[in-house]
Amino acid sequence: MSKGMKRRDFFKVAATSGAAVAVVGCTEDPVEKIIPMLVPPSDYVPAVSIHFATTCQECAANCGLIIRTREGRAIKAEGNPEHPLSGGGICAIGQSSLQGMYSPSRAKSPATQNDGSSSLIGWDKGLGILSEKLEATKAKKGKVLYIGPARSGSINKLIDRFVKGLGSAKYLRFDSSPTNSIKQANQITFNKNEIPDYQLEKAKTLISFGADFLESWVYPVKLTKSYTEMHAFKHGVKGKYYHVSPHMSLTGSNADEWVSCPSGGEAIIALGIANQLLGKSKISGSEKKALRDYLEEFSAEQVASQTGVRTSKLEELAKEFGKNGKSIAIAGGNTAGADATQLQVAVNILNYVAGNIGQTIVFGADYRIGGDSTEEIVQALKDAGKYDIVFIENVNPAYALPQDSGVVEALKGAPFVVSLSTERDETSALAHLHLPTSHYFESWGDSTPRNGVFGLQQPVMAKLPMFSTKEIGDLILLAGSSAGLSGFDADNYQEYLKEQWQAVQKKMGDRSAFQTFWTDSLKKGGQYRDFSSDKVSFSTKALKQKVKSSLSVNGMTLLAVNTTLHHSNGAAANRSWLMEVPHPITQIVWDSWVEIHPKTAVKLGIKHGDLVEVKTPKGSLELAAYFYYGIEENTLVVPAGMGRSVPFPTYKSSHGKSIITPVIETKSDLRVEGFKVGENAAGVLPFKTDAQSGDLVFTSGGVSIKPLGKKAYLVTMDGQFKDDIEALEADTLGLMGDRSQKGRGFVQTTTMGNMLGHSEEKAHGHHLRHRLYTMDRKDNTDFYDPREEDVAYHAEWAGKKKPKYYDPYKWEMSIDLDRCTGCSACVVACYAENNIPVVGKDRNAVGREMSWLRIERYIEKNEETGTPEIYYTPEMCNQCGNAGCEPVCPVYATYHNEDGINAMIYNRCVGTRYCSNNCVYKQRKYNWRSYEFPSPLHLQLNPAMTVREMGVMEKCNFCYSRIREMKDIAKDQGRVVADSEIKTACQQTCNAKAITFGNIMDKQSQVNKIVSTTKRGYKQLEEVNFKPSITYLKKVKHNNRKA
Amino acid sequence: MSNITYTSINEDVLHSLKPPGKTWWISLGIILSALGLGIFAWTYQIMHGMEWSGINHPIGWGVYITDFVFWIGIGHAGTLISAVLFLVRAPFRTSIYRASEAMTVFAVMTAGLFPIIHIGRAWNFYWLLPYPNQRQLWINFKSPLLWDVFAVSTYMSVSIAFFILGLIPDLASVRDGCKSKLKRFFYSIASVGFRGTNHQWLHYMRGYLLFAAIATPLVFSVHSIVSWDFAMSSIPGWHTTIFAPYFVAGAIFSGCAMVLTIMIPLRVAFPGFKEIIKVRDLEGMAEMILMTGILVTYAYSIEFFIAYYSGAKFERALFWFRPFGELRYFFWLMVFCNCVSALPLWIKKIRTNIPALFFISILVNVGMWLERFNIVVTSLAHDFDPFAWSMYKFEWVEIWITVGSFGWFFMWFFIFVKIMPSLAVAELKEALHPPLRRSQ
Amino acid sequence: MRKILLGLSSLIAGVMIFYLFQPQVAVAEDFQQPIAFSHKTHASDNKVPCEFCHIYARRSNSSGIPPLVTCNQCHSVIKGTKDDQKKEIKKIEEYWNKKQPVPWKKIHDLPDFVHFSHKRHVQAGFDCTECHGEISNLDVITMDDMKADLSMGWCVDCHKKEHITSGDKVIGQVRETRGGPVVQNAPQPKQDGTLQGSKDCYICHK
Repeated sequence: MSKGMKRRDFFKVAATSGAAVAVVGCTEDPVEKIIPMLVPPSDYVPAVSIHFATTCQECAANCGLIIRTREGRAIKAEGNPEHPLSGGGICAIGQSSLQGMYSPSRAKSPATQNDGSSSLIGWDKGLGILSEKLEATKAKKGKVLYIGPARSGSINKLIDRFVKGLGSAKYLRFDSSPTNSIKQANQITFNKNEIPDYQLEKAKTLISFGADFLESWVYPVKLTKSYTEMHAFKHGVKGKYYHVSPHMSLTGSNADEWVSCPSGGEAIIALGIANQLLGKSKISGSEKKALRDYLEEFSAEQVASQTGVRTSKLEELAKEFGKNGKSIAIAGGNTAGADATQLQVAVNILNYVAGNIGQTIVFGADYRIGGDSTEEIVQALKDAGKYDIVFIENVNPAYALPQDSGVVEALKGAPFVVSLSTERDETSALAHLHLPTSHYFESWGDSTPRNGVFGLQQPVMAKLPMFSTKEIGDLILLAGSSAGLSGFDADNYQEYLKEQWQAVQKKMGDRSAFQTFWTDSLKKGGQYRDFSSDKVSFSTKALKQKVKSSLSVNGMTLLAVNTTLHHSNGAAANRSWLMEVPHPITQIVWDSWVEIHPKTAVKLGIKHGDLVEVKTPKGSLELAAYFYYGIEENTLVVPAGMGRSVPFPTYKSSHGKSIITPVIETKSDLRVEGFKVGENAAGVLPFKTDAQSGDLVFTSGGVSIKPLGKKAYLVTMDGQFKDDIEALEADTLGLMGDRSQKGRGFVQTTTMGNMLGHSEEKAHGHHLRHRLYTMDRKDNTDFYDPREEDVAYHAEWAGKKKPKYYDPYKWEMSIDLDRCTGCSACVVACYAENNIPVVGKDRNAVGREMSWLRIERYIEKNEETGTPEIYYTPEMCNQCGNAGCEPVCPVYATYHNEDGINAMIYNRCVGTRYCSNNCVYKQRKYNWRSYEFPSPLHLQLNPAMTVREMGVMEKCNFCYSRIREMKDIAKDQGRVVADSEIKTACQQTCNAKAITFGNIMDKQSQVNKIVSTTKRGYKQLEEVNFKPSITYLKKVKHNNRKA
Repeated sequence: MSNITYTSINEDVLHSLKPPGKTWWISLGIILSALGLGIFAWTYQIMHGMEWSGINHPIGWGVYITDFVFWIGIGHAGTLISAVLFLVRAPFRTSIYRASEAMTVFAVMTAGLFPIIHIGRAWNFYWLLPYPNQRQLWINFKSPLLWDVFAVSTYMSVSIAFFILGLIPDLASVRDGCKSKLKRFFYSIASVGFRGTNHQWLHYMRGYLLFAAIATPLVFSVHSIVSWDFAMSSIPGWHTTIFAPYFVAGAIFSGCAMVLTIMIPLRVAFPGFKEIIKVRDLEGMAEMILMTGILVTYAYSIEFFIAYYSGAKFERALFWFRPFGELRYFFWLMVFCNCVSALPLWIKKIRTNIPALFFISILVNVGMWLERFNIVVTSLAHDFDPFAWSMYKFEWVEIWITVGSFGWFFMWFFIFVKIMPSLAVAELKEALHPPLRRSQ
Repeated sequence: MRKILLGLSSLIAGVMIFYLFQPQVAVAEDFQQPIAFSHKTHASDNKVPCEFCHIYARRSNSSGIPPLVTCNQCHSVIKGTKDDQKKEIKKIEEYWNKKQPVPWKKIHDLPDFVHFSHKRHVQAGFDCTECHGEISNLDVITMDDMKADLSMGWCVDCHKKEHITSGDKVIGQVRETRGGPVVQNAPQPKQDGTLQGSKDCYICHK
């Protein structure tokens, strides 16, 4: 068993040849240790999950989280239902926060660094160095710069006091997302420097001028909720949503119509609409006159000539938008461009004219989103040399800011830079001293995302042993006291926090004893109440904005956009889940790409999948060209936030490169050393900020693109075939392939007309179904007996006791395609819940993906407008009642269990893969090897789920471990599981509430109500007659254009 | 019946049992190294998982199942020739049936390996067998894969028994012929004391007839069942009723081709065989190939017609995909080898031209392998869900294992040639006039 | 030729033997526990109920090993009488002072793909001894003292049985405490129903 052959492998070989059978017979497991705790917490029970409420710090929206822990390890992040911002759901990046915690790229312990070489030092030494510096600075009343993440909460006050105490100092909060323009514009228009509450749910019409509010714009989780409230079909009502932007992002793809406009044209269109509406608006007197003077230059014709938006379209928009107060327009985000504030003002004017202010846009909430002006931060960093100490905490300007902002050079020149980052990122690599702070799952904190919301952040588990870190709060307290400042005497940050919360208690008008208030807050994850809305009045200052009504175009325009999986701050770029999950629209994994309009590309001689060079005035990127009709012809789009150089594990193997010659891998082919995934788009942008708000600009003009004459290694997860019978009609310009669903009815649509019974809908599905699948039975529908009858019959025939089926449970699911936005948070949740391994780019390329749940994306061409229509459908195992997988398994490794689940018994599976072949939904995934979960990521594994070994099949099982958990609890209490007690991971995280899961046998259950009452229900591939237990609800469209 | 006599047959045939020469050893060496490759590759796959084959999601079956069906198919000709042609008393059978029967046995032995090779946890292959175990688990008789297990094992045992039975009288004559004690000892055991008395002959012939009768239905049943692995599932391109006859025809087609591929070199290797294995016999095979080839062609066309006639969009899309999709090369190569390459056999000249026959037989073998590949892979690559479509890429492991399987097959055949009479001595003699004592 | 025969026969023989071997769920080569803990002394001589230490058995899938604090609470007072006792109890103190947990060795060990639930069985009224045997009479537990080999066949056998119940609790010997000494000639509760385990593989394998 020598020669590098592992013992187990030997047995596997030996067992088959039978030669070493004597040895196999008595394989000896090593003795397992069983190590109890020293002193367990009072509420600790092994093998029972405990939940902690805390706050998400991935973005400044600070959604509430519930962290599920097992044996003291955090294993799953979920939204806090009580929290007004998250309301139960959570986004993909929030789901992946666990990988941020268990990230191999976290800093191990304090370290000193000078020019590249870093040496680990203990905390004592580290703090020693720091306190010396602090005293020195304090002595000579030096200057201090502190750059922290954009956040709300008590910590800000503490840090403020700390830096102020050291002499003349600056404390700046950095957030690359452009949000200050909103505050600035509101200051100008309404004398109110705040981000208001956008109440989409109250609107009938929504126009978004490039604001990707389902992905990254201000507080996406809450907006997704209120958007679906407004836009999903309910009781015969469905709002309208137009997306006006050069790029049809995921958000845009959910719109009823995407109106393409050149970059920078949004403001003109907004004012154009305002101009149309002004006539019948309630505004009167001098104000009206002023507005008319201001708006008259934005006549329909003018707008049309500038932006190419047809006058008829503009009138349509105006007509739809004039809903006296029941409409809303939003704008901003990365596409906003150089005049972000002007755009915001224009949209404010539009909203004002339409009378939406105070109706759908309510002030007084004052969302603490976004940091200080990027302009200011960059200035401060530029003269970092002038500061005695520069603190940088958990932000990564060296990565997130464009190279030519000169931040990196400045930091290199600074006398003393201290990094307090959890991760060893690009910026902390430049620091002289790195004191790693604990991840927010390990620390105390709080947040005030808006007025009336006080989120509390508690440690959900002990600090990870392999990283020696300190909580940021404690660290500041230590530093403060060691520098001999006053007001740092709290013995730890938890105590300090409690003091602060005494004030919160008063604010909330709570009379109870503080301890009860405190514990109650910890339970709920904070204290929540509504905010009092403020009245605002329009100030004609807004009309001084010179929105230039003509666009000067030089070269192409490049947009660096955020998506649900990519964020320009780069925090998401070293989490293998987010790399592995395909981008909803392009379906690309483990890479960044450039989206280009096919017409433009073909003009430039670029083919789909070619490697192209994108040249901005300040640099160039080598990317794969991705053909996409959802983009303005003169625009290029690249996802931001990729191309991090921090190490993180993925499967990098030479697999797939060899045809005849073998590639021998003796050891595991898992590489953990740092390597780059994709390119950093923001890096090559010319550094520019919006003049009025100092927001970072994510667009660049004067961009050129040219092919490099070779194919890129581009891996997309959709089966694209250009040589297909249906593909012949489809537009396959430049080999882009056919992305339609080829009339197979996976996504089915209906129209408002049909739903309101105005017009007849033609039947979808197999036209021969009745002839093919019926025969003489009493209920002339189907020649299969219902399973219960069938089994009962055979049991009786065999003289066995009759097994119970579907009593009292049969788990079913319904998925509302009119709600699903395709954001893919559910996919990440599924990875987290079910211990699904991440396989990396190379293996994805050769069909080795393991995901149990995929968002299928189909792009159909709209016959009328020529714009693409994108449909998403979450696809998972359908738990068929008459499944194809069950009868073909020779060893009963998969079978139909009493609850109607297609049970999959891993340890019985021999791996014939017949079940996968015979599954018409292709939902079974096979373990091509034994996948590793590199430390410390393995600590996230869910103990309730078996970790599968090589050679066995696996698939979605409706989160059966969760079902078991609840059934057990119910049984302890001698009752049956109540409705909506069990939530599958995907359902739980879905902000759009697209997924409903429950017991179909319970007549009162939500899923039963939906399935039995809906007029939109359908089953996929019904004609195959597998009797799937997932009911899809058709997408509802306003018009009956062909999908 | 030119100058063949009892003695000459004995000499000619038993000549092949003389100690092997250089060429034999060299070719065996090549064969064994091929086998070595295969063993290495399989060991490697067991250690590292299916990762290293080209099989992927959604194409769960690839080269291995293709090989399996291919080898099972090869086997059929042997049984057909020895059993069916025996019952119908086809004259050209006598000279070739022994070798082709050996081919059957070895082919089935090879085929039997592939189900084990292709499963993900090969070390648990015995779970597929119904045996009492303490876990009290049982197997699923609904699964076509299980039918396979029984079909193949039955086929294997019957054909081995039939093979050995046929050998007995010849082994006896070998026994009488050989000098060394040891050899004599072994052969006398092998020939179960056959003395050639009328009594023994009587029973022998009865037994042989009986076995022929038992073996005959297997020729049709086994490959029908194999075809149901596919026909029973719900994938477009698999889910069809035509498969059973279609596969049987294909099997005989490839089998007869393989017989030629083996017989012709045998003829060259042992000059003595030239007189015994007559061109007429080979021609008989050629005619079989021609006939079955046309049957197969018919089956292909029917498949396409049904796809069109069903009106089911999935079927139509698939049968459009096979000839015109990304995998079209395999399809057209198959069409050439199976439908076109056999047609020249209409012409007597070609039918009787040995090199031509050999060449065509090779083409047919390749074609039939491709046919199985097309059925297995294209159907899976392009089924219901367009989003889950995919492409097949050969990997070294599966190629090496396939090479190894040929090594395994020919290893047995080479050993067989050297230790057993590869032509049916006794039955050849039947066709002759007994020698008159006077003539000596 | 002979080699091949040999190879063949060995293969066949190998396969045959392979069937005959029962999979052994847990085998350990060394049962030397870090502390010579005696269930006899505790459970039998001093009548400590099982669930005094294994407190989670009724509430969780895992019965739990007593945390060191549980040991210490008593043994900070009880120092033992015999020398060897003193010696072993001293170890607890040492572990406690080092703030180190005791690395006990697992004897009743199931494969990781088996999710067995203690609470289900305890709540159904089964006694600890039904599966674990009369642990309370043992000083040292080794594999050989296991009442059941915890193999799947053994589980299934019991799940096939019709267990007689009274008030949905399985009727067994009446004991002072769960797993404790049997109460002699105690009145048996009268049967009013039966209980049979589930045969759904998914109960344990998920």
